Amino acid sequence: MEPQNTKNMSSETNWKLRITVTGPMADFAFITLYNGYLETVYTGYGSFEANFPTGLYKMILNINDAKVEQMIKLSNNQNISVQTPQGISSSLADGFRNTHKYYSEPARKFSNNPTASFEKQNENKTTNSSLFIFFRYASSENFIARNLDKESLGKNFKLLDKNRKLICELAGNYIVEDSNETGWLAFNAFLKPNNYYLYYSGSKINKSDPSREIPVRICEQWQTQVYMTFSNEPLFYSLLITLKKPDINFDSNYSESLYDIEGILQKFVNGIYFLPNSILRKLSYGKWENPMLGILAAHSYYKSGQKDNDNLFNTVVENLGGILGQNIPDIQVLIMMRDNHSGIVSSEISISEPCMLLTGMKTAILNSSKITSSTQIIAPFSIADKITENLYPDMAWTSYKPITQIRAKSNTIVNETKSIDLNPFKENKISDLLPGQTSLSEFNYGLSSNPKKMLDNIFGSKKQKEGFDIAKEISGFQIQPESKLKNTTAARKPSVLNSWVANSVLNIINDQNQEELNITDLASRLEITPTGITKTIKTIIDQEDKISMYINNKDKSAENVAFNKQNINKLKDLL
Amino acid sequence: MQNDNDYALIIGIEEYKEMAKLNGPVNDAKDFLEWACNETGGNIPEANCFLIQASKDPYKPLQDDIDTGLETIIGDGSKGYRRLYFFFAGHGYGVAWDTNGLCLPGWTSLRRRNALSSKAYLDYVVESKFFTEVYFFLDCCRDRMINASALTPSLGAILPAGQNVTSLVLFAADFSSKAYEDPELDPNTKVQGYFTKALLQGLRGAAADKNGNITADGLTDFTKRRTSELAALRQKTQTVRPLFSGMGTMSQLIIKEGINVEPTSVTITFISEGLVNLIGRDLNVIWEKQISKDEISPIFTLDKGLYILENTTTGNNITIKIDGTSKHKEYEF
Repeated sequence: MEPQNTKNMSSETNWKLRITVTGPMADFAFITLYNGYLETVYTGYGSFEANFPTGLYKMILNINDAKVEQMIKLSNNQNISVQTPQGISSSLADGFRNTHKYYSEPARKFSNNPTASFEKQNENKTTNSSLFIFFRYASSENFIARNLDKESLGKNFKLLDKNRKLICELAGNYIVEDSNETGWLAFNAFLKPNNYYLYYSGSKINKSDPSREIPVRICEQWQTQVYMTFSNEPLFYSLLITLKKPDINFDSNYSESLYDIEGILQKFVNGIYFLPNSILRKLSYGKWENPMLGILAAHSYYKSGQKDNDNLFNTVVENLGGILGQNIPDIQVLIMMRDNHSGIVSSEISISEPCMLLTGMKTAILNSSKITSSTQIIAPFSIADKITENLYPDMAWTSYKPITQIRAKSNTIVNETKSIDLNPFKENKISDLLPGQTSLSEFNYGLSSNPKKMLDNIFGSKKQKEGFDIAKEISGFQIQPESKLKNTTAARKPSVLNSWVANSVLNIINDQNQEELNITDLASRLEITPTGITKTIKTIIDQEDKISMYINNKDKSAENVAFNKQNINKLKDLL
Repeated sequence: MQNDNDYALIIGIEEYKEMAKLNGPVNDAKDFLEWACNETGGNIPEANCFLIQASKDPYKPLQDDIDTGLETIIGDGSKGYRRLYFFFAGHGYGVAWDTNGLCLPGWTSLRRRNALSSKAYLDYVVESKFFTEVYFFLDCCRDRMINASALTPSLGAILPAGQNVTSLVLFAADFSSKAYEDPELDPNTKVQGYFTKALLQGLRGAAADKNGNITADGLTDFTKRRTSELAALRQKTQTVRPLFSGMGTMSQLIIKEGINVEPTSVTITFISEGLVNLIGRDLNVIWEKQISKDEISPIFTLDKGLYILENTTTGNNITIKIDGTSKHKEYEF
C-alpha cells in the first residue's frame, strides 16, 4: 500500500541514506527527495532507507500544508532524523500544536463525568453508551481575540434524537463550559444506542456559515466522542468523531489511535487513500482501542481500489459489525462498499438513517441509482433519503442542510406560555418559536410548496391519529422578517423554482435536448436518489400552473427560463 | 514538420454571471494557444487548435459550445489522432479528489451544477479511444462548494474502451484548495494563474531533463514545485495535484524532446568575508576563494540543478537553485 518510488539508484558509488521520521503522524509524512539535477529520486511515506550516489540532495517532508526542507550533502553513509512539523487537530491528543492543557484537562475530566442526564446508566453498566461533545478554540488567546462577546460555544447547537426530536440545546444545565477565559464546552450524557443528530442553526451574520446537521451514532458499550475547534464560528472541517471504551483513559494507545485517525482523515479528504503498514498491522491484530480507526481504514481501503488486503478488510468489516452492531448504518455501508469492491451491487441492504462518513452516504446513493430491482438501498421518505439532495461536501463526515422539521420534544422545550399559534401552516407566527426556525413558506427543499401535503406524505395516517401533535413540528430555515412575510400575493414565487434539483433537471433537459433521459440517468448525474428525482418531477408537475403564472408575471427574465411548458411536458414523459 | 494529429481545446473564462471577475484566464488561454501552435512548443497546426470564445452578453460558452468543439475535433472519426490537450482557466470547484467542476459563465448559486465535470470529459475522451495521449491542464480552484457537482458531456463513446490511452491531468491545486492568479504588479507583466505560468515555463523548456526531454514526470514535478514557489512569493499556498493513468510510467511518457536548456548566469555580492566555496551538483567544488566584504564574484554559468555556496569561515551557506526559468540571477551572501 505504500507508494514508494526510487530512481537513478544504480550509480557506481552509492551511499546509504536513512531518513527516520519521528513525531505525531510520522507514518503519514510524505517525503520527496531531489538530486542535484532537480530530478525526483525518491517519493514515499514515512521513514526510509535507500542507496544514492555522491551528490547534493534536497529532502522535502510534507504533512498537509506544513513542510520541512533539508539540504543533504551525501558523501558517506548518513542517518538523518526529521521531526514532523507540529500539526493541528481537534482531538486534544498530545503533540498537536493546538493541544493545550487548559483544554485537554477538562476534556479528560468530563469525558468521564456526565454533564446531563437523560438515560439512567444501567446499574450493572450493561447500557454504558454515551455521547461526549467537546468544543474549544485553537487557544485561549484565539478565544479572547475572536470571541469578544464571550458567547457560549453551544450557541445555535441542539441535540436531536433518532426521530429528530429535540433532546436539548447545548446550553444551560446540560453542559459545562468556560466562556470567560479559554473558551471550551463539554457535554456528556448516557444515551441509548441509536442515531442522534447534532443540529446547528447557522450564523445569522455570516451567510457562508449555513445551518447544518450531523448524524452521530451511539453504539452499545461505547462512548462516541465529538471534537470540534472554533474560530469566529464552528470550524466544521475540524470535526473529529471517535469511539472510546468508557473505562479507557486518554492513554498513549488512545492518543496513537487519534494520530492514525487524523492521518487517515487528512489524506482522505484529499482523495489520498493511504494506509501505512503500521495501521494494517494494528488492524490485523484485531485489538483496537478505537473502532473508528477500523471504519476509516476500511473506507480508505475500499476507496483506494487496492486488492492486496481484501481478506484483512473482510475480517475488519466482520469484526466491526460484531463490535458495533451489524445493522448500524456505518456497518451497512461498509458491507455495501465491500460488495462493490468485489464487483457486486448490494441488493439486500437498505438504510433509513444516515451513516457518519460522507463516502458511505455517497456509496449508498450510487448503489441506489444502480439497483433495478424493487429493493430500495435508501428507504424512501426516510431521513437518509431526504438528506441526499442536501449533503454538504466540505468535510469527511456526513453533514447536510437540515431537513425541514425539528420535532419539539414531547415534554416541550418550546415556551408554551407564549401566545403562539403552533400550527405550522400559519406561517406568520411560526418564526416566534425557536431561534433559527422560520416559516414553511421559506421551505426550499424542492419537494412541495404545500407543507400540509408534504407532512401528510411523510407522516401519513399518524398525523390523523395524533391530531394536532404533529403541528408542533417546526420548520428549519432562516428567519424571514415579518415585513417580508406580510408581502405575500398570489404570484408569490413557487418554492420549486428555488430547488436546485428542479433547476438542474429542467436545465439538463433544456440545454441538451436529450430525448432518452430517464430518472436513473438523472439521479446518477445529479448524485441523488431516483426517489428524489421522482419527487421533484412530481412537484414541478403539481405546481405547473403556479410556475406558469409566476413566470408570466415577470417582464423578461432569463431566470427560470427552463421552466417552460415544453420542458415540463418532457418531464411528464419521464414518469 | 507539424504534429498534424495533435489537437487542443482551450477555454479561458473571466466573466461570470454571479462569480467574481477573474483577470488571468484569457491571458492564460492565449498563452497556452501560443505554446500549442508554436513550432518550438506543441507544434500543432492552427486549424487543430480550438480557442473557445467567452462572452458576457449572452454568457458564453454553454456546455453545448464545448461539446461542439470536441465534436468538431473528432469530426467523423476518420482523422489521424495522437494527442488532445484540454486547457481550462476560470472558476472551478472540487467535486471529488479526482473531479473538478469547471464553471461555465452562466453558473449561479441556483444553477450550481452549470459546470463541466473534468472527470466525465476525461472519461469520454479516454473511452472514445480516438487519442493515445490525453492532457488535461486545469487552472481553477478546487475548494468545495455545497451541493455542487458537475455535468457530463453530451457526447458518448459508442463502445467505451480506453486501453492503450495514456492520460495526464494536472489540477492547479489540491482538492479542497484554491488556485490563485498573480496580480498585475507592473505594466510589463500580465495577470496569469500561477499554475499556467509554471506549466508554460515547464513546457517551454524549464521542465526538461539533462537529456533535453520533457517527460510527464518532469513536467509534473517542475509545475508542482514552481507553482508552489510562485504562490509562496505572495504568501499563498498552492499545491498542484497530478493524476496519471495509462501505459508505462510518467517518466516514460515524453511530451517534448530535443530541448536545449540554456544555462543561467549567476553573480554573487559578498557581504561578509571568508573562504567561500561554490559546490556543484555532484559535490564538486566549482569555485573557491578567500573573499573580502563587498566583493563581487565573477559571472558563473550554471546548468539546471542545485548548488551550495558556503563560507567555511563563518559556517553560513545558501542554496542556489537553477531551474531554467531565469537567464540571470543575483545573490547576496
